[in-house]
Amino acid sequence: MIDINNFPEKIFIEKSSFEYPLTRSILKKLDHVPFEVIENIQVLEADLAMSRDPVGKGKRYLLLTRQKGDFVKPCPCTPQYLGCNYYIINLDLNCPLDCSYCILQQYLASPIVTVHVNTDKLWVQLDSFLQQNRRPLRIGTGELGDSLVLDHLTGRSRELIRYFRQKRSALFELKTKTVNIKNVMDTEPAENIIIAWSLNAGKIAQTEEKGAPPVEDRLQAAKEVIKKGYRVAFHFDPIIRFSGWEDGYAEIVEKMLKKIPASKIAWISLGSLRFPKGLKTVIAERFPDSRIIYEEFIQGMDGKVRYFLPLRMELYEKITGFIRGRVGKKIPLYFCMESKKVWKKVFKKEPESKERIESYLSLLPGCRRL
Amino acid sequence: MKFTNIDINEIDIKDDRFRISYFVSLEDLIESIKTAGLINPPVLSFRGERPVIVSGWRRVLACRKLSFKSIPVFISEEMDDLEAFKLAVYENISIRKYSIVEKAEVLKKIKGFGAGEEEIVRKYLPLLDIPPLLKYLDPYLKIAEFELELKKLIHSRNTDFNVLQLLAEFSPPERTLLLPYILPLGKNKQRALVTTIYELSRKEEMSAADILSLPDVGKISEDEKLSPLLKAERLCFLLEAKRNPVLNSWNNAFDKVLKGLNISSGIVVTPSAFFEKENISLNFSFKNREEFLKKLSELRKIADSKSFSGLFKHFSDD
Repeated sequence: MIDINNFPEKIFIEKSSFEYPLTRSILKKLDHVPFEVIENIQVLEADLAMSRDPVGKGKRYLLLTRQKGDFVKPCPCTPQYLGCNYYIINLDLNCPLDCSYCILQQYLASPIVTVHVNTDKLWVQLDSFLQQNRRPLRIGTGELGDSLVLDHLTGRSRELIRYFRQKRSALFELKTKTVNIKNVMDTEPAENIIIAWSLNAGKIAQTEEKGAPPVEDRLQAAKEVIKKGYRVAFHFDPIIRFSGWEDGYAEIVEKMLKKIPASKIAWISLGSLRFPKGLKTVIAERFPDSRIIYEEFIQGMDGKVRYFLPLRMELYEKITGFIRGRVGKKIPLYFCMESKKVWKKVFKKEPESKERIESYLSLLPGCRRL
Repeated sequence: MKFTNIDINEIDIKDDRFRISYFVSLEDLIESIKTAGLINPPVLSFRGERPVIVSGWRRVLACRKLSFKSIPVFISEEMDDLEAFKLAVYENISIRKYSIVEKAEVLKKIKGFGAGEEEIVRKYLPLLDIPPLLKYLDPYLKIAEFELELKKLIHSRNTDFNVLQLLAEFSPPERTLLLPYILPLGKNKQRALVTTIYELSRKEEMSAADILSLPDVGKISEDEKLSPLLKAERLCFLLEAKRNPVLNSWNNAFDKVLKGLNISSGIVVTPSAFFEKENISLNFSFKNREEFLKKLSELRKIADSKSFSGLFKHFSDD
């Protein structure tokens, strides 16, 4: 069981990253945690090789290193399904939370929670990216790690919000399962800054999202940031079939819409459980009590494992119905990694392209058209 | 290492602490020894009063079959069991590749002789062509505990590692029940069947024994007209349908519509893989224009029939 309050057990610092201000600041905050300066990451790989659960062990370590590639990238989405033209900022990799379904258990080369400390490069790259892409677009940090889970150590949210406040054409999203909102609350909000939470049925959050706060706490945090002046978003992803799923999702939608005014929700995404084939073994080994991988799956057009089409449709139609039944079409909904056919059947509209979805989600209310 | 001749009956063949392979054939070696003699002497080591075999089990057993009175051997200097076993492993690996069962046996014994996990992972897993990660050690240790008869079968059939890993999740009696269904199948189908039974048992919270005693499974196993291969294939099909009931019902519905359309055997109509796309594929071949037109005319008739729209039923926007 991961205890994020005791994270990390040990810090590893790549030699070339020792002098960065962020390294110094993290070491100061974690002065009770042992640290080791290493020549390269291979040293850690050898250590993890001696663990029966390298992924679990990686979640207890913190690696401070430099981003050698690009910070900003288009979201890879998945082949053959419809994307939304989202852009990702790869600041931190992996996450001390331990969600059974998380694809990062297999997606990244190393399971170690990693913070890239050379943020000086980030701003240069972001400036250049936004110069080249002047249209309204969506960009965020929560793709390869939780946006806020390490925020008390990195203070990234403050810097990012301050930066994007000046770049109004971009909608900047911080995506989290945590309630680590202190820095967000201490920073001046802006119309183009969205604080987003991953939500799930209470039972799934409880059994499959180890280390993450209960959904009620996430909604309370959302309420607090709204009070501060931010807009929020929610991601029902992955939606999971389980005994009683219909009631479970009806309940969380009800709780969300009771607590959060629809006018403050920038968007809600829906995505059903999907994962690369090899992750099934990882989940079976690491979470032997979990039953989520024994539902009825097929191999999708992208080669990933996903629920058979009518089972996905049933999930989407129900949850969309719960949301729209309460607030109509006030909140933009979209699918993550779904086919045009699913869009058409559930939303009764088939987007022509990912660019159309991008403009649907990134324009201000009133200007939207799918 | 001392070279000497030894009375073959002095060798304690009941002590198999250093033995790696239990499932060996001696015929070819007997022929070789008959023709060329024992070229490569076995290695022995004293344990108490009697020497035991460190390396060269097949050679000693073949010479016994040939009723040799004495054979040339190397007697190793005094060394502990771990050192002696390492010698056996290195000598064998230089001549041949180990099967999965043999690798499992090597790892079990080397651990039993006191090698630490770190040494096993760093030194012996790569030596056995296994990735040097601790998480790969456990499945091999589980396979080493399989029943002797099962080990013999999987050794002789070179069974897939993934199948064995899953088999390790079942109890010994369940493995015995599963074997007759698994063995007749090819590697891919073996894996599919074991995976289906395992997942079905997890999903429905039934034991493999419960699944195999379901009435429709019983019908297959009791059908004397079916060969073991046909029984195994029928079981695969039946359990796959139980594992994926919705997909199975869609496939059946599609097939039913096709049947109702009475399409001639030269025309093949298939849905997209798992119905993910709305497209349906049509495939037919023809030798000349006349045959082509004949097929087109048949297709036209099919398209005009009332039941044709049934093919698209699942994709209808209504």
